[in-house]
Amino acid sequence: MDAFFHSLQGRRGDRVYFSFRDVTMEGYSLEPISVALYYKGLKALGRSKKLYRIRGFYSLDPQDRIVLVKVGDEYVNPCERLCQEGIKVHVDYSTPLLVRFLSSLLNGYFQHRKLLRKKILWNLAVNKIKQLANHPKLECVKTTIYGKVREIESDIIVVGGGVAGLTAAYTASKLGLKSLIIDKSRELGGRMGYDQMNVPGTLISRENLLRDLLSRISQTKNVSILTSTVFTGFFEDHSTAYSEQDKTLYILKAKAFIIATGMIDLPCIFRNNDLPGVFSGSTALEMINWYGVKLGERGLVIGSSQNSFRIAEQLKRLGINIILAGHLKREDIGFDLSRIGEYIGNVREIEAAGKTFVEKVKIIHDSGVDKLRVDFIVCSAFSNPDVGILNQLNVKMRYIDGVGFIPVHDQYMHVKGNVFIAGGVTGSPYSILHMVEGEIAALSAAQMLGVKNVEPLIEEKLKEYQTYLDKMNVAWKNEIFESSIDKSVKIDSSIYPPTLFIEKPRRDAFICFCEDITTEDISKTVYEKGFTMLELVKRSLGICTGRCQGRLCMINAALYVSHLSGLDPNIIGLTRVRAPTTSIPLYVLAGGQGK
Amino acid sequence: MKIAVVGGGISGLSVAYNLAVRNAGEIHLFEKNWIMYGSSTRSGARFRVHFWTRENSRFAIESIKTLEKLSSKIEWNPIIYRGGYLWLLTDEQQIERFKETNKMWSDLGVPGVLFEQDRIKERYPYLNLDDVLGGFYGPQDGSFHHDYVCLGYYSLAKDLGVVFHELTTVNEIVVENNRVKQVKTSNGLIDVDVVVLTSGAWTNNLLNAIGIVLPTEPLRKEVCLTEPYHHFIDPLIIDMGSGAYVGQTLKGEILGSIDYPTPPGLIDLETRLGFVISWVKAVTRRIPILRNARLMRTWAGYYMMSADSSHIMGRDPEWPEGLYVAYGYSGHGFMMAPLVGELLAEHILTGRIDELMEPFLPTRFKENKLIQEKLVIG
Repeated sequence: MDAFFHSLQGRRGDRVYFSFRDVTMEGYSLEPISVALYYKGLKALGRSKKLYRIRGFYSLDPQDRIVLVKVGDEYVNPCERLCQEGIKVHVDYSTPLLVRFLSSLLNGYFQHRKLLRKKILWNLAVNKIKQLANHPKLECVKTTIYGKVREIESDIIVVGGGVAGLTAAYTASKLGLKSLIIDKSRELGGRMGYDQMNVPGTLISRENLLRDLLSRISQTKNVSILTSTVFTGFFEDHSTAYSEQDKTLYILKAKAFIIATGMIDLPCIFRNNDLPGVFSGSTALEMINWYGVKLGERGLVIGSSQNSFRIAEQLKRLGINIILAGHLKREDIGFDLSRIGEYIGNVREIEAAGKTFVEKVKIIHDSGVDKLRVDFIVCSAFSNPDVGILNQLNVKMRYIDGVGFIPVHDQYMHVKGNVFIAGGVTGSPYSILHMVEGEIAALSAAQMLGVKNVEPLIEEKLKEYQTYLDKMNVAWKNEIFESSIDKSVKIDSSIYPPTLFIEKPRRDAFICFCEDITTEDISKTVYEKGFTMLELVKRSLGICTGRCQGRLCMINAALYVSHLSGLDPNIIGLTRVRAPTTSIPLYVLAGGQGK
Repeated sequence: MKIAVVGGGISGLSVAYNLAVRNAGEIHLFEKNWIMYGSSTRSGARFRVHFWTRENSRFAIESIKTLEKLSSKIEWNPIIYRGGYLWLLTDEQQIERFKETNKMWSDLGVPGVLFEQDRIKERYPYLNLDDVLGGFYGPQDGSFHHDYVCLGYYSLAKDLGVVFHELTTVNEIVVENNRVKQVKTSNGLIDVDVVVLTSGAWTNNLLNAIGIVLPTEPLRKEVCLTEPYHHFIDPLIIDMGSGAYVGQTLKGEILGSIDYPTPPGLIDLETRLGFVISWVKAVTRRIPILRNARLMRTWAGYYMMSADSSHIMGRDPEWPEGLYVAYGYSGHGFMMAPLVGELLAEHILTGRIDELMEPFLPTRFKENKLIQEKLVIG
């Protein structure tokens, strides 16, 4: 195993030294601060905004800005900022006395308490309230530091450099179209880049598939690439992307867009699910396979999907003791459980515990209670398409049971105007589908841009696609295609959220990490206030308004409301994401051309 | 009496609640989306009592009192906070104008304070005052939580028996024998005695269809919001030089906007990068410390502008019997609506026109008695 971790050293860059709370730390120049600290056992990175709960990082995605640390004068996302020689990282773990004193009262409805609404008391309270939130303090950036603004033009812009995005860009380039791939990671490949397993149902290794795609792309002249850059959505006049590393705002001009943003592993809802040491499935893989950080000696993987199983297996191979726990019965699991070890089925409630990070877990299931010592927990019960950008574009979403909220598209992978989609974001489960979708999206975009003689190619691909869909039994896709024509939605009933692992609303089971919103708050909104549309739940609680703009909480909240209210998730709906989909510093924006 | 209130924003909610509390009869509120969908939920959530005209200032003073009283009645805290408004003045004319008008404001019991440049620097050290000659501070102005105000009215109205028809569009007002008779909705026809149009930017479609034209037009306004930071900006700061405003919400986010050329009309509620950059340039110049803040979100809503930038309430005697409006707030909906609801409900039930309400009747346009409010922010 050590050999495996050793082989990754090159990827981590050069050794650097920085200080954390005045203690010298060792890290690598291509490693995020949070990973370097985790490796040293420092899992707590700060406290939450309202309840001052200890928080670590759930994912390494630069868009999930749950926790910020102070580096010099600046508050930065430790999962995005890389270690650098000599930097001083600071974290404040203290909690104001008043919050400690009031903590049992603080919830989503604290400010509405009758007592507080008395005029005199309110005038006193309001001054305290505004000071009590745990927010970063603004410090001045020297006016000599400027961001850059660059304009980039391309025929097609592909957002996301995973298998679908790469295939789309390559297909477009073969047709003579210029394409630009924008990816938020440092390297292309998306999930393929750090998942060591073969493509499901095939003997093709992901590594080879990726290598093959990248080498083909490197041979064409028409594809340019922007990595470590987040596509920040469509403003009315321009679409934009932002690179935190280069402090550059890109103003994008393109004739068509292909959105291939993949999926998000949603956080699981269980007690103390905000403790440091709780990770998303893809982050767990990224940590071990990219950064060579062994997550711990013992871990709990939550979920009983194929995805959970694959993650568990990879962790197991590294010599980590793994327990898999999920909703499904043991008999209904279609995998060879001997390859991972223990599986706990029919789970009803999970409770994590630990002082400043996950140390143990209690699992209540149909046949009893298990208490285990674990070092980390991986959430892989459910992945929803990463629909943030499409939501911002106001593309209609449709909930399909077991698949999630899917952007409504037709079989040409068209969603709206000049925007196409491909890959995980369409809800498709397998890489083979993602590749064909990439091809179809690129061909359809080419047709829209007036490239001649693509119709026969499209027809051929559509046939191939349909064959795969039939073979892989992805019947719901046709429902989505139909709803792109037929606007009416068949309303079903409520669902049991696949990420839900509590038996009743709990004030220590979180849905929104940015704003500290718990399942108890949401149940109060649904039962006492009677609000069931997610927009109104948002208005009453402030869910989806935090730094991640609902990236991690929106789908979970909608599904949980559906569960509580007994209504179809399609009635609950989602809330609108607004541009920019990821925040951009003002000093970078100030470098742009105004009136 | 059967009353249809068309529009579920702050205006409609306030009217419906005030009618219900006066036992007006059977009240139906129609909202084509969900309550407060339109411009209410897109508000900048600030109120002020300082307007150029006496009519608007008086109205706002009373309206805010109404809003404050509401606080103890509703189950939602409207989060009223008098952080003040600070106008930064960049030319002598503006200073003169504020000095002059402050006499009227003092007269009304809401005197502001004129600050010299160094006094501003002392109170607000984070401001860059290079080109600022002075400032006007209105301590009576402040902020509230727009969603909670709406939800407060909504829950009160609901308890009083107002029937809410969400996801229901009113397509037509049926007039017979010069009386409103029915409203035609996407869910069928309803017989009514009174129709109150409170649908903000969307009101004119219904009015025009029955031949009534008032000089109003929707104007899209965009807003920027940053990530939350430790609270340090108390007042809403209005930069009269650049036309930008900026404030901090109690949640810590920095919120602001700037006057940016926009064609009028019901254009899509999207936002422009050009607008964002223009606001960012103005605001980081004025408050350099904001350079390190991060823009988190932008959104847009409509100001329903009337010809004299003041709201329109009540009816014109020449209109079909039973038809009332409350719209055209010109960006001041939340400040005015609490009182508009009260006075309009009173008017509908008794016919009495309160002296505060009188200047705002729709007849003022044809009688050429415009209010001439020019102090519009954003």
